[in-house]
Amino acid sequence: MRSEIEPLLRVRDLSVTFPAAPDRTYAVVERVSFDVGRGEIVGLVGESGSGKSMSLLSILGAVPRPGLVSATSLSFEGRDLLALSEPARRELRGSRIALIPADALGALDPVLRVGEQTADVIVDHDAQPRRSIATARVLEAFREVSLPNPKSRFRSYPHQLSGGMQQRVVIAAGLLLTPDLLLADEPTTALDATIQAQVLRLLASIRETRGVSIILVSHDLATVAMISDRILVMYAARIVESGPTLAVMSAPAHPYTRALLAAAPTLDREITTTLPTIPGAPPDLRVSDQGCRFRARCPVFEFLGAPSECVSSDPPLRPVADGRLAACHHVDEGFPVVGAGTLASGSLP
Amino acid sequence: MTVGSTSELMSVRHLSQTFAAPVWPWRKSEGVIALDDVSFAIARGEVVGLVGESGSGKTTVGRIIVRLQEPTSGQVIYQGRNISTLKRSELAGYRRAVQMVFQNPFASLNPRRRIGDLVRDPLEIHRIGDPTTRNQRVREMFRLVGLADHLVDRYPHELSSGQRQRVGIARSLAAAPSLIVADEPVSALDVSVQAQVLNLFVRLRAELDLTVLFISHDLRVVRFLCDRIIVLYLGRVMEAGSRDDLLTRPTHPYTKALIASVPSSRPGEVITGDIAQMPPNRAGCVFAPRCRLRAALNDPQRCVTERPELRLLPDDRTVACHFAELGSGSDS
Amino acid sequence: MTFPASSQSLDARIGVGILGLIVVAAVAGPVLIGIDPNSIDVTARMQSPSAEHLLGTDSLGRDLLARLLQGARVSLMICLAAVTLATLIGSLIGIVSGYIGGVVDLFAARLIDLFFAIPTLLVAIAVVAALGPSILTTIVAIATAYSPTYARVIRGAVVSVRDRPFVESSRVAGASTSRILRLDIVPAIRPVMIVQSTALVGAALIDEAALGFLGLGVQPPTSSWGSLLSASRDVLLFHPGLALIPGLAVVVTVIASNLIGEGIRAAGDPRLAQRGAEA
Repeated sequence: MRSEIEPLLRVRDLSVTFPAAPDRTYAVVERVSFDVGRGEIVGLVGESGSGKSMSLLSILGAVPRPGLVSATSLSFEGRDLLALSEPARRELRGSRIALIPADALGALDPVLRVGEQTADVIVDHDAQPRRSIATARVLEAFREVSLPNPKSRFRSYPHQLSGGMQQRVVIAAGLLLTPDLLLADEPTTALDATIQAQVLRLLASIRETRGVSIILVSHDLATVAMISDRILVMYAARIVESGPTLAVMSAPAHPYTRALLAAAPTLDREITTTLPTIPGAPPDLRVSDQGCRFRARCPVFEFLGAPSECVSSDPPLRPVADGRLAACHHVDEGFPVVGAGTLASGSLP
Repeated sequence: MTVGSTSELMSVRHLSQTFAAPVWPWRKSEGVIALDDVSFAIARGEVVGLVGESGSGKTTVGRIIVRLQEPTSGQVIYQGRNISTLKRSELAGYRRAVQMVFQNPFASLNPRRRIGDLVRDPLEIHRIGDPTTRNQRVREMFRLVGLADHLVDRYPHELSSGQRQRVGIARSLAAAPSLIVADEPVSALDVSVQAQVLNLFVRLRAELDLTVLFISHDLRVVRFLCDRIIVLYLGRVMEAGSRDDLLTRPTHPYTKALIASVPSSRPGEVITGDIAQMPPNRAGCVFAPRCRLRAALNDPQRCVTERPELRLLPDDRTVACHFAELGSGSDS
Repeated sequence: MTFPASSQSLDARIGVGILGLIVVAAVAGPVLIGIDPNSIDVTARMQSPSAEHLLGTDSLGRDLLARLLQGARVSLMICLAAVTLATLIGSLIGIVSGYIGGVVDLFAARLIDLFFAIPTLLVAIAVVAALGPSILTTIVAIATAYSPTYARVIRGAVVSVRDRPFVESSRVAGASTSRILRLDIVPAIRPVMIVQSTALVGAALIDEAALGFLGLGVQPPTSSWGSLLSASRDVLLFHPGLALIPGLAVVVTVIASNLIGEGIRAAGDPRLAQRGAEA
């Protein structure tokens, strides 16, 4: 009966630390907590160095040395991922949790035909030792991801496919073992605009037909908002805001989310002569800091005349309106939102 | 908009570029067509966005303009003169007047040189001023793009990506050029840094009266910055017009598709198909295989047999589609 | 960063120290010990080290230390001259062929390939055969033999940087070819050149020995490390010291030059140099 309330993925106080000096470490992911429900698409957004990709890697158990992962809970279907043996984790990684990388071409073996290497996924996991059946299943997966001419594509080499088709092949490979969770790391960043929209739509439709959960990592809030149910915003190793897509996009609570939305030009907001920018640069995570990591760039901090709590304590994520959480001492005193109100969420079918 | 022939700073005419596989010089090979008869003009003081996906040829146009590449045919006309007929001394003047900002601010800065020297380069190359005035000019450039003075002795790897792109911009501006070709200058940057660099372009434009050809795949960025937009697809101009006409009332089916694919509010209809892997049918319209309008019109033969030439519409924009009028309004 | 860049500069200092000692010994040594390296004493053949002959004597009773020091002069000079010559010729061909490209490159590259098919020693032997054995011929022979290899490596390095964005950026800025070569291309390939040249020191020392062994190198009675090594061949089993000592000299010199090469390469790269400063 516990499984009824148990989410598919449960992350509590996840931290990833690296050694900085012989006696010190620093966190590239710090006390990150979130859930992913069945059939849910969760968008994980942040700029480079925010820790979004490292969070993804720690779910896969693929954090590079000498990184250290710790969490009070990191469980998948109630199973503790941190306690798994390496073989068990590898099994889980291929069959239940699949990664869709940003660089599809890099993920494909250049000297093997795409159909064959996709079929290898099945054979390797011993799920289906017979080649002919594996082939049939690959063709089926190719059709599912709308790869044009699946039969002839089966015999193509990766470089003979366009970027969009390569990404479809990689997604098809990820789907072969019917995973429950797809981890998509910037899956559309390398793609052209029209293809990017196609791939996003594909991910959304896979969720509809299969009920699979997806964590969609991207640096672009607008991209993530297209298909996500919920959005997590990371800054300097922490989640600074999370909540339903519509709420986060239309009325962002954290000053960083607000600034990020305002800084990105859009097609529909009124054109201004200058974009509101976020001054400065993200903090050096190796320098320890008691206070809020965003304060040096924060307009609210500046507006309120550098309040002491921002300097002395790191604000925890706490509930604000509309089912959102925000890590800010002054959520309610923020500036008005800069014209992000027209954004719709989950707008792709 | 000041797009009269009198204010024209630069134009490209009938540019075509075919890339051949590198082979023995006495053997000819079938090439890939990157540009197919592209023409447009840029007026003085104008910021023009050149938009397209991969394979559109947008980068090739930029490289031809800054003479990193010779077109297979066609001309670049700068201040009324064909640049391929310039004498050696005049060419140096052209190099000084037309500069480029590169996409990857790290790769385009020599890692072994200090950034002050990199910004000073154009001054030395074109023998502008003496060592003292050059140093002053470098400091002036640093201030202009928002780099602290004390950074002059730093190496590129010691800077953040935003600072590096500022160095790239300062370097391109040092010799006071009149035209900047910016090839995806913000696509490698994080959103917050991108905003800073875009604002810098706005400010520089106002302060220096710059003319910019801004090459980008991102309509959102182009909308923010550019007065006029030119849309390329597989080496051909599909549509060109003022920002507002083109983005709010697109007439070409491809422009509509491009706008619909931008991640944002209006959930557009996503066009199907991929940029052709096979050489496109150049006898007709290169966009025909993916075109919704053509599908809606029951695949008229004209789209595959007759190349749609760029033609002027009443609202002063140009479009290369036989049936542009039929699609407008109804289908977005 | 814990990358041991500072230990690299330490390596370089050790390398310089060793090579410095060898050079000082080669220059001042013969004077200091005051023994004629060519004086034959058949009564004192094959002696073990003693107070009179610190490293013993060879099969003609000549003092091995004196011959080793004289050999150091000759070998180092041949080596240095040959490497310098090969570096100049090889870089010139490699840079011109790699940067200019086109037809020039086509023919230069084929010519280099042609040389590549022939063992370097054979090329050197052919040169000596044509010009007659002497120190100068040895230098020319070794340089000729290694220039194509060198040019090939340099050409490859130049081709890999030629179209990098930072070179294109200089081109767009209007920089002349010579300025681009000087500021962009050569600094970028310098690490390759240094590694190649220092690696060549070892190869040149060994080829010098081989030519000497074939009677095509330095002519008796002048000694070089190569000729000492080959002279020891007949008595190797009974008096291994005669081979070990010049052999050791060659090995130590090669190691020292490689240490220096690594150090200079690291120092020439601001990214590596900085890591050194941070560590």
